Amino acid sequence: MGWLHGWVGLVSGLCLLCVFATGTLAVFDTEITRWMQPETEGHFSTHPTDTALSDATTLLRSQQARGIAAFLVLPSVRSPVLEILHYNGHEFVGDVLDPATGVVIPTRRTTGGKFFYNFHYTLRGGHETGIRVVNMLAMGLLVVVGAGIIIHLHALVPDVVLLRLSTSRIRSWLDVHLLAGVLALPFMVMIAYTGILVHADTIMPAHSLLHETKKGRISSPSALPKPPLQAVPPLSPLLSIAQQDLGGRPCGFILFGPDRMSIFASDAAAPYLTRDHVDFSLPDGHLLGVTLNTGQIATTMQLMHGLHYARFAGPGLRWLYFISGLFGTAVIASGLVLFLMKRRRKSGHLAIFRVAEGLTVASMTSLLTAILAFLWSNRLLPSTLPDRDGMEIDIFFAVWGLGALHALSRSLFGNPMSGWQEQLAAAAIMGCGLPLLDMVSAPQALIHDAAIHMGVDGMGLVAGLVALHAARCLQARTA
Amino acid sequence: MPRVTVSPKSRLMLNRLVNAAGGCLFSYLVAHMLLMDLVQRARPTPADAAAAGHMIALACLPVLILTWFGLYTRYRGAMVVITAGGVAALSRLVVS
Repeated sequence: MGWLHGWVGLVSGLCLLCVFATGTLAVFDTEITRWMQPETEGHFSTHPTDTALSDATTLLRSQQARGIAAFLVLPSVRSPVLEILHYNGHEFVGDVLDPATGVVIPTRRTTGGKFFYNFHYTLRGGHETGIRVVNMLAMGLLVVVGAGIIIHLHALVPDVVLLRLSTSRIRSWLDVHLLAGVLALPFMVMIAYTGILVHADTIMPAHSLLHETKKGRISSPSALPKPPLQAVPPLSPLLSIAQQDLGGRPCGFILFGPDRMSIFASDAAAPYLTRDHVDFSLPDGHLLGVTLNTGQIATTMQLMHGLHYARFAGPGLRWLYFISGLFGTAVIASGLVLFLMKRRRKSGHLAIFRVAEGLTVASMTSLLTAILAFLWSNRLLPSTLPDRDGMEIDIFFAVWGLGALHALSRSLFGNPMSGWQEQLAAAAIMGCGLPLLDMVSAPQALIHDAAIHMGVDGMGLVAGLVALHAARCLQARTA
Repeated sequence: MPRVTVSPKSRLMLNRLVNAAGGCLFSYLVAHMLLMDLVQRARPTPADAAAAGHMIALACLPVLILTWFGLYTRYRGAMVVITAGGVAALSRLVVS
């Protein structure tokens, strides 16, 4: 079991660290998006006016006429603006409207926190392949956690809170790994299992593995005549009817077809991530039907999805998810460090060991630096720059790539500690500088959206301070 | 008698890798068979059957892998997993 835990942990942990870290950030994806669009400050209203809804539908229909598959997201407590979003192949992006006036808020183009959400479940590797890889890694996590439980079972209760920092370094790191692991164990098992269930069909299709799907002729969408887009009636009465038919649950988003529209229940209404919806015909707004996904099995699966997405969570529970995610990330990170420490004396001279160490630095400190660079680029790139959302993502990957090259070169040339120290120093500078950057670049937003800016800046500062402390400890040790 | 040229440590690593790979493969096949059993049993409601099947099969998969790899004495883990696969296969034949 020790072999399985160690080696499967290393191979899957290098990628799982990135999945877990970005997933932890995705808990606050909406808040991060608001931080990255300080122009939305001061727009607080969860009840859109009739004027705003009318302007939104007009704008949406004009986008649909140009071939953009847009949909309307209604204001919520976490995001009190109207949004007209479309899928760009990776994230949902689009225009942000004032829910009181319907005016398009001139926000800077950015993918925001949705980038971390997309990266978390696809590793930016395409919708099918990326999801399949992440699902396999999540299954690896369950195996590794199971092996870890079996290894540690005899001491699970006696040593549940044991942290000996004054003993040998390996023992201290092992205590950190065990402490974080035991505390985060229920969360890690829950989040990994529910995450696999969200896209279960990608790793275990519900048909025979020998079944050959028939490839029938499908006429290309462009060959079929496009039905004309019907006018949309006033939405307020339809929203009231929909809310009533959905059992009092608030409405979340609206999908518009050429001659019908569907109003979906908000994901934040309950822990069950249903896709219950009410359909209306266009242009008269006649009620077509109500679709409620009931049944014990369907409800159970909705609960599994709801627990993973946590869209129902209030601020307290959301912070609990975030802190648990940090613990989970710490478990994986400390496990990788332990693996290297245990084998450094015997295998430290081997090229494969040095590559593993370089990749560990890339997964840990380079990723942290890249995340901070993503936030920095949001403030430093001109807000009117076209395609700036793509540039922010390019900067993220460029910084990560450069960090990985730096880490591998330092490690392969026999100086891995310098690699750790230099990258931790870079992360410390960027993390500690983030609140100052925010104060200088968006002072008004800091006042109007204080909680969000304090949260993001605070976490950046904490990350910077932790990196600084780690860099100083390493420097003292190697001096 | 042919001389053994592979070092004991490399041999152990290779054995473990083969064991892990074989365990993952067989466990996946057994879990998938379990899923198909559940889908087949609840034909009128295939969507719900698939959902229930996924919840059960994907919970069993890591347990099967750990059983295969953990009970390595006299291949007990492998026998448990293969027996579970046999039961799933027979159950499917009985139902159909």
